[in-house]
Amino acid sequence: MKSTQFIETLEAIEQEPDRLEGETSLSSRFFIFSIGELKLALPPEQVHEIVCDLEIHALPACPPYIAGLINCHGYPYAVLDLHVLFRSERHGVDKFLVLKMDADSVAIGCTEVNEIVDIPLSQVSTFADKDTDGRFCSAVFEYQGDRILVLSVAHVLSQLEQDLG
Amino acid sequence: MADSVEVFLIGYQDFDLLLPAGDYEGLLSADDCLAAGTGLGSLALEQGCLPAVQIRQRDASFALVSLESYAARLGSADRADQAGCRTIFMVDTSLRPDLLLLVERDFELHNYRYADLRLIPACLRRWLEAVGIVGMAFSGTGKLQLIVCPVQLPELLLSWRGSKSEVLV
Repeated sequence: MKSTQFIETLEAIEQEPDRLEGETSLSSRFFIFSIGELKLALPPEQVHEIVCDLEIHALPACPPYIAGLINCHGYPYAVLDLHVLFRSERHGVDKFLVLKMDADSVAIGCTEVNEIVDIPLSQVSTFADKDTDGRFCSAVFEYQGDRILVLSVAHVLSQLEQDLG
Repeated sequence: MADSVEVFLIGYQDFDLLLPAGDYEGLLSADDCLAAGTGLGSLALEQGCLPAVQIRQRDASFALVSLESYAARLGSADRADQAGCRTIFMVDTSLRPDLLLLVERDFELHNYRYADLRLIPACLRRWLEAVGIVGMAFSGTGKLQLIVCPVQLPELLLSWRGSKSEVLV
């Protein structure tokens, strides 16, 4: 399930709560990863590859949440430093989630690749308009006592465009 | 269209600059500058930055185009000196920023296959093109190499200096 489909499903459920009755097994899979204490999730199908221990090449003139570039199989991938976006400070990373994107080359730096989980959609909620966490996320859920934010890569890249002005 | 392009490679601590050779008339050593009486040679010698690289830019009009058209232009057989305008950059921006490219390390002329050059990731393209980076490559040892548009080289170096001053010494 892609993130857009996932959001559409959630919205449909919000509009038609009865829809879930009899469909209690309706769930979605999430790929959970960490950057320090920050836990985030992505739909697994958005992750193309996990690579480790690559050097991050710093770049000039980019916003602080762009950590730089990695050389993945000879091709440059922009590395997002999500800790800067969510916690306003850098955090060292040693793993990279290379994202599956048609027209771009983007990776996310992280410290841990946790697990892939099935979460009932009834336990996944969208954000209120004024929730600051919702700026870069499409949803949130609780898992083993942690609040996991479902990252929206499109929102982050949109922020990058806006920041350029 | 040729399948490769000649570039001047200038190595720094963290990255290499690749300057497409078709953009430049030639390189002069500090001694050459001294002999020509330009005053640039003595400046270079004072700074202890040898060799001095004097760059005569062939044509400024295509400096802000994409990597594809930029590469295509450089790959053409037409190497005529069209503009004849002389632009000389200086890395050490504490000196006059529009004069002289002073490099501590030696520069080399390399032949790069277009197949080995890389486009900037789409999400960063506008950011990096704004400071003159039009493409990139990785060296055999994995070092990042930035293909730089000559007209914007001073801006790039100033911008970089703001964030990583050590790379410009």
